[in-house]
Amino acid sequence: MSSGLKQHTMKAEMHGETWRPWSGTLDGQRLRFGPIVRAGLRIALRKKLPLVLLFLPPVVATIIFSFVVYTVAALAQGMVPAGLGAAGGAMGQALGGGSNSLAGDFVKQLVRVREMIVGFHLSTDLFSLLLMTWFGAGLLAEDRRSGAHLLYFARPLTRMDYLLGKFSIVALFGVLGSMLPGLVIITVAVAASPDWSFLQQEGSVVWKTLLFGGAWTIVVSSIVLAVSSLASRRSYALAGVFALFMFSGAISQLLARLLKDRDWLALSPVQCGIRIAEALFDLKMPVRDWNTTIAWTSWALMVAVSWAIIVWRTRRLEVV
Amino acid sequence: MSIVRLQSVVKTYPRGKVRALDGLSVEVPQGAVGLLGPNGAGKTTLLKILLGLIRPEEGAVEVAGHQPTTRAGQLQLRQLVGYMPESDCLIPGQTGVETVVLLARLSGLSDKDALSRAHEVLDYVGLEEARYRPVEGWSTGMKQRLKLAQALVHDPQLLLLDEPTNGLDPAGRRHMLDLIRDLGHGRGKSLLVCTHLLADVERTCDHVIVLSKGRVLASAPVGTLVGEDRRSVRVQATGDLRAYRQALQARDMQVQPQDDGSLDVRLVAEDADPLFEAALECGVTLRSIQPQRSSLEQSFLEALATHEARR
Repeated sequence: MSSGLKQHTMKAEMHGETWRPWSGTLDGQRLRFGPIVRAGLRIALRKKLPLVLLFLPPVVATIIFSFVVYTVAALAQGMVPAGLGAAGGAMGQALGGGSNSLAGDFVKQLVRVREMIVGFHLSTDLFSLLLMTWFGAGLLAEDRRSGAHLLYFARPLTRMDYLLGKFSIVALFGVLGSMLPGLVIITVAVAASPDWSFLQQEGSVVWKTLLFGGAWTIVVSSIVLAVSSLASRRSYALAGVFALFMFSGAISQLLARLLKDRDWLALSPVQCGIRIAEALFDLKMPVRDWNTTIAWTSWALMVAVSWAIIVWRTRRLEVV
Repeated sequence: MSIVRLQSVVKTYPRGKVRALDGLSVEVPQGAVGLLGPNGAGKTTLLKILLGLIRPEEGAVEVAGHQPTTRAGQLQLRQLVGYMPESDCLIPGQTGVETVVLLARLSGLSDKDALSRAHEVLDYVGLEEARYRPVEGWSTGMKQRLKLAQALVHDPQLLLLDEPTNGLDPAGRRHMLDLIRDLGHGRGKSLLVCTHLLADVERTCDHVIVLSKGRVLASAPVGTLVGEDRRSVRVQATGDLRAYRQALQARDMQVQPQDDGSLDVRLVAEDADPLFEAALECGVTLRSIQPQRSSLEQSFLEALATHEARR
């Protein structure tokens, strides 16, 4: 009874002001963009609906394409994929393979697999564009609007640390939306082909996927950040990026037709991407027979101009 | 012992050909120091230099024994200094504790230390469960306290507080001033409080520096500026006060009658004898003579007026 009473009258301990001097040492050598990346990703991952809406299509497409690639590779070996049953035969016929395919057709099938991977790559790149734009548009614009730069630049943080942090956030979404699905499909193709034959015959597709995905991510991330640095709020930056990609596409097509010179397509980052992919992956449908060097140069110029804008705008952010 | 030393510091802005700091030399003592000055005095430029954001064209700067002469030195300087900006600032999408943790990490604390220090300083400034909510929905007072918390989190040797009571209601202002006073006096931190509110400086600071047009007009302990002014007295008397007033004015003294019947008298010298002589002459009985205190505002305005007169 008495102990119960004692418990009842016991009060919770309240903490008072706990200020105390810091006795540790501050790390002065570390790369400082890491905390910015982590904080940016944490904020992005909080928004569940955009995550689901923007990641679901690439994820579903990756699963379906993985299955198709696996099926093509299996049928090329004269096998019916497990769980496919009678439908396997029909699919095999439709894909030009079938259980009766000869070993000589196998190389042709591997080429088909590669073309499917490239086609898949180009389609997921559009989703990666949406991902990078959605999650990157506000990174610099909102910092400016909310005055976050006053807090960042009062720390031992260089502009390069700050920009690297912001760029890494956008680029990570680009990698997740563009490079990763391609690599998953390639892994499936490698695993499904006998004796690593896909890797031996079409191994270059791995580094080409990395190169193309990386370049695409750098171009789009730079453009998104440049527009974000110019905009006063995220919604304006979003509209600006979409307008830039749409208008550049339309204008480049118009100029190419009016002036009968397809090199004008280099004005559009998307058209450049398609041309570079065609050339890089050696696609057998070169309908866009314009200069690949111009496409690469155009991408390089877009990145250079974007970074010039970003650096100029962040120089103005670094004030008290 | 000085926390900041500036020697002949010059900073000009080429765009407007403005000489923001014009050979500024000052020693900022440890403790709580108020930085006063009209708009365009060079306060913001001084803060930028102390944060290592800009480099002066001429002169030497030393903060806590550290002289930032290189880019790396400027960055290192920001580890020694905590800055509470004047304007509204927050990191969008983050909670209070996340904001402070992030900024602690950027200052060089480890993950674990950043988290524990963040909670300590948020406790100290009185942000309780609100720290787990996104900062966008916070009141002005809470945001001000968050700004103070993030400035404190890496335990800097010098705190730069730019208009710390800006936009606060009376209760919030009192709380913020109590915190600043505690930091300066109870916790032994060195503070440079930049404000237009002279009463805030009077209440929280030990020393005051007055800037104007990039130069120091006055740098003195608050006590000497706000102390007793022995030439200004308030006199309470009974009798013919009108005649007494005229007698005082005849002796070159300035007299200002007050509503309660007393007289504010400005003496010619620190000598009260003429008050008694005039009282004797008029048959007035003196009840009390009290020296008056000069306000910081009065000192500030006098320093500005003196500077203008010299130019």
